Amino acid sequence: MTRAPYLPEIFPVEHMDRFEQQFWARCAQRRLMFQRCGGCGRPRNPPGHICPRCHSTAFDWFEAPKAAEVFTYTIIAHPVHDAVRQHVPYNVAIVVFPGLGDLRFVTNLLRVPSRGIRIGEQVALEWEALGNGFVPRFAYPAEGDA
Amino acid sequence: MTASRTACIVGVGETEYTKWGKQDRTPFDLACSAILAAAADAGLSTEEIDGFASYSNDENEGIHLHAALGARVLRWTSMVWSGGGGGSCASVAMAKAAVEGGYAECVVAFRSLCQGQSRRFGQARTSRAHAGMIYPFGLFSAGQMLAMPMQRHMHLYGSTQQQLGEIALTCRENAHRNPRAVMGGRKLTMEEYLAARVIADPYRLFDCCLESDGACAVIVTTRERARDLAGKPVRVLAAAMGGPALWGAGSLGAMNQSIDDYMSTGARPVAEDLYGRAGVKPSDIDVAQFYENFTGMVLMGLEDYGFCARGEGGPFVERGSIRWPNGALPINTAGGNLSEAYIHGMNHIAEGVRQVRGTSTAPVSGAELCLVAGGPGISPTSALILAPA
Repeated sequence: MTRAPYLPEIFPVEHMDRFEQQFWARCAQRRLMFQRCGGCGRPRNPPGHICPRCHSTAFDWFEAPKAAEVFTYTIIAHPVHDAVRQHVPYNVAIVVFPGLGDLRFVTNLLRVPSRGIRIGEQVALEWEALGNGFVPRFAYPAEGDA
Repeated sequence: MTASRTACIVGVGETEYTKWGKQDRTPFDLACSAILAAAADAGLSTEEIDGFASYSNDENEGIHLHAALGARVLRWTSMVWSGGGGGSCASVAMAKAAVEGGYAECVVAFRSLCQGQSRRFGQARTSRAHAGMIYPFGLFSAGQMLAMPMQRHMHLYGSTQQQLGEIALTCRENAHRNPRAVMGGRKLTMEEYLAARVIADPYRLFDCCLESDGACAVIVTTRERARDLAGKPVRVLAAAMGGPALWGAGSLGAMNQSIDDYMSTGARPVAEDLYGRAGVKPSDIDVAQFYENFTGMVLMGLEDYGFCARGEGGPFVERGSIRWPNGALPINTAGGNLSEAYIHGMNHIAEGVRQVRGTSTAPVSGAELCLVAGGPGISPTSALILAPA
């Protein structure tokens, strides 16, 4: 059974740099991956060309943990882009991952309980098919899971 | 630098402020008017202006203003990298550096914007730093992005919606006294604040700055030149700009500044430099003008500039500290971006000058030191301390 994705499209971005393109190319294969510095091992997001700690430009991509914690969020009720005009209110959240320090990731939360989102709660990676690709979102457990 | 070159603001000029899109004149036309008004306030001829300083997103290049106003020699032009109002006070810092360093004699810092003719800052734009990592999730605007540190502040420290409302109401009350204020005379109660529609939780309609058209300019020259002028000089006692390590676009894009800095305006290092240069401490400040893109950034700014401890911004405003005339630190005495006009914080600098001159419509009795804080949440942010010359 397929259901409608949380938001209707991957919004147009006029210019994605080469690292953002690499990030989304991995998402198209349903792999949520972040950069890790090839010099000192520091993980980083958003992706970029140089490590601010050791200045190495070498890096590899590593697979993010499937489980994350809600760091903060907002519920957007006033649409500022035509693409979401019919889709408010919707949430945007920032999640953090065990063992990845200050690295944060912007996403949307799925299956939010009716009592609302609480900071610190555990959520799990869930892929949503959209267009030619997939979007990494994070979900509360389905009813009966927990 | 000799004491005779100490930087002073000698003139303030503003056009009429209107709701966005209500202005027929171009931003360039408005910039010229504001600069002419500032020169008239100072009692000097625009021929003497030899420097032009502004900050990111201003469309009006100093070289063309210089030519249009028939100024004699051009000695200084500068634009501060930042976004929106982050560089408001930094433009005055550049003017101060120029005159105190002997690079120019008379520098104007200015902002002119007509959101109806260019773009509305609250709407999604086609790109921004790290757009590829945030737009796909529907995160587009500064209000949405800056709602998130406030949400976490509320979670960790228990700050409340009513405390944010107190900031909005304070600005509105001050606007009622200010004939320039776009929202002057438009009553706002806590009930109305709480009942207003949500923009991006926890921000409701009245937590968000206005969208305005208008221009504002201040003229900076040396104390020696100021002596011969009609305009009452105000000393730029200290100026600072900057941001914390790894901030980059900070909460307005990357979101990966250190977690310790996440719930802040990014102004902690700026505040440290500012007080150090001025040789004063937060308790010496009599009145302050805080750039409000959103109320939560004022709450955190009060913490970052040392008026209360981290996490204490909510209780600080709740006990009336920011109210005119009797609060410990009256703020935004002309109404600010929330209720006077959104001129990217240059209007906060103008009001800071009026406080030290004693000409504010909400004068703080005996005010000598006024802190002005530029746009928060972006790097660089910037700040000034203004004092009697």
